[in-house]
Amino acid sequence: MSPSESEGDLNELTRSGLARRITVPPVVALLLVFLYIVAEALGYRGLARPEGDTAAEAAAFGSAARTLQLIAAGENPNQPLHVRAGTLDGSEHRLRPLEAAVLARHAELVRLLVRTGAARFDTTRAVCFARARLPEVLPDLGRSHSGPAEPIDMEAAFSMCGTD
Amino acid sequence: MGTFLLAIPVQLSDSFTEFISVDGRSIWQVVGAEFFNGTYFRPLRRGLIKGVYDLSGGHYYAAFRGFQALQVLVLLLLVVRMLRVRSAAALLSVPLGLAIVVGMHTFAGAVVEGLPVNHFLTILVCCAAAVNIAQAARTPWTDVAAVVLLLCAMLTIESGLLLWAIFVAARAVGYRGVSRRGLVVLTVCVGLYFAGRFVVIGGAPPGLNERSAGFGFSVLNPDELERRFGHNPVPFYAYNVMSAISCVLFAEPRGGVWLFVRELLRGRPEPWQFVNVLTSTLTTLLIGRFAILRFGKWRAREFDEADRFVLIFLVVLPVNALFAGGYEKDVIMSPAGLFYGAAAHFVFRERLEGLRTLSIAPALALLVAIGWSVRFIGMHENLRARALSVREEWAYYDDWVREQPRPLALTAEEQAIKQHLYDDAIVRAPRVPQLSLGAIDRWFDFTQ
Repeated sequence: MSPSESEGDLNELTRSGLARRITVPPVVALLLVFLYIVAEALGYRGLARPEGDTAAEAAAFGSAARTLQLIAAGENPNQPLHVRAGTLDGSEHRLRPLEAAVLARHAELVRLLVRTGAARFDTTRAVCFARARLPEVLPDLGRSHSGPAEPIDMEAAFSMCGTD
Repeated sequence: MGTFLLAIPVQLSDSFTEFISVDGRSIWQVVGAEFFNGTYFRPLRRGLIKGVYDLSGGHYYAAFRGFQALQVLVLLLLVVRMLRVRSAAALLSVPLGLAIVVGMHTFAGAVVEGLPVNHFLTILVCCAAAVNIAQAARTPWTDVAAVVLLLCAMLTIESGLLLWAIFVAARAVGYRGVSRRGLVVLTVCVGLYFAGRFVVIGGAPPGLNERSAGFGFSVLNPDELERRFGHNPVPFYAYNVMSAISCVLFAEPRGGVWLFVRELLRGRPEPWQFVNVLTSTLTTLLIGRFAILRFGKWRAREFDEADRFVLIFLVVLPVNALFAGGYEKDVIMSPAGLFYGAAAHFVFRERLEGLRTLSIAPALALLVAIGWSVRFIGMHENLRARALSVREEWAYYDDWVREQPRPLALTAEEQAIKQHLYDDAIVRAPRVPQLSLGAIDRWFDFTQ
């Protein structure tokens, strides 16, 4: 088949309804994936799941890897860090990663942070948060397990233990 | 897809320990040790890992992730080449064919897992290469290439034996790249494999107590399997073979578990389950109808290109399912999934070429094409989710060590390897976010 013949066939076929129905969806899918890669490379994050801009935010989202990455990049996990509104509740907060992980009820991450030296501060408020929200980690924070059976809500936890 | 693959760090489970086992040993020691590895006979599997490991020069992430991306690229090139795209209709059918190959649930395990060299992916490359050899003009070199390919594949992982079935089926449907004498040599190789593995080395097939396996609506652990089938495992093996065939044709059961039926009975099936089952079932019905309509021609040994691929698929499917006899895992059926995609491509292509063997309602064609396109996109979203889960796995390295059946005491050199991989996954990992498409996420299969 000569190039002009095959081009003619292609033109004729693309006008057929069946060919369009078979071809267009996968081509569109491929283009969508390609466009997303390009957009992401250019900095687009519109479809990205939030992952945390500070170690405390990352801990609130339960992302251990991102938390450790930000700590390795120089963030001090024993200092309060910014947590934007909408991460834990409707308000902005200043929390340590450990406190954020407790409030968001990520027990494994709490233990990981304790192991990696992110509990070298006055943990009174973290312990209070744990009593309110995640009593199972109290032994990891050096306290006995004596919290309520059911976690209380975030707002009540902040009013019980203090905000910033 | 390569971009998405490169976003995944080298994984901890099934990879780090592989690095430890090949570090400081020669390739001959690595390969030699695998000849006597009990129930599994995969001497080249670790050999390939060792090869990439040595070539990496310490750049493990670039070498292993790059190798997987390269394998996918080679696979797709070989697939397109074997489809012999020479007409407008063929060209227009390629996107759907590739969407099926990549979007197929059996393909997921070949790309989502690193292992650190994914040998299921290696076998897929070998399968596509086998068809290319079979289609080539016959020379003595095509016979040699076929034998070398079979030897490499079957010594890498058991599924590699499928290449023999592919060469035989390809010859039977009219591809002449491999001579009759070549087929005899291939058959002798397979015979020697079984004699070597089960008579000379004295290996045994995997027992019921090796791992958990899906059965009915749940997964049974080794103790439960032993209790239920220990006295007579044949029904369990038969169940697995039938499940494996059904898994390719209807996307159900998955890993031996009838997930869609279970959720349907509970009244809470997920949208992605409908997408998978409906798309696969409709595609299977089209292939099945094509086979029925062409059966008369096949009996008269008249084969066009579409017939050849549908027939090769029909041969590969049951033979492939035999490898899932011990336990059904979707990725074991990835070779059958590959030929399923190729067969579907040809069914649509024939229709577009105006051969009218099979009439396809436009609405049905659109439904199938949209379904596979959703699955194609879902595979990419899955890879993003995997990137995150591998990073999380490394973050909890200490917990992973505690869960190992044997204590893991690392030498200084092994500790350095671990630290390098850890830093690749945590400190130096590229910032690739997981996607969040809101309610649309429910249309994508994240169980793969």
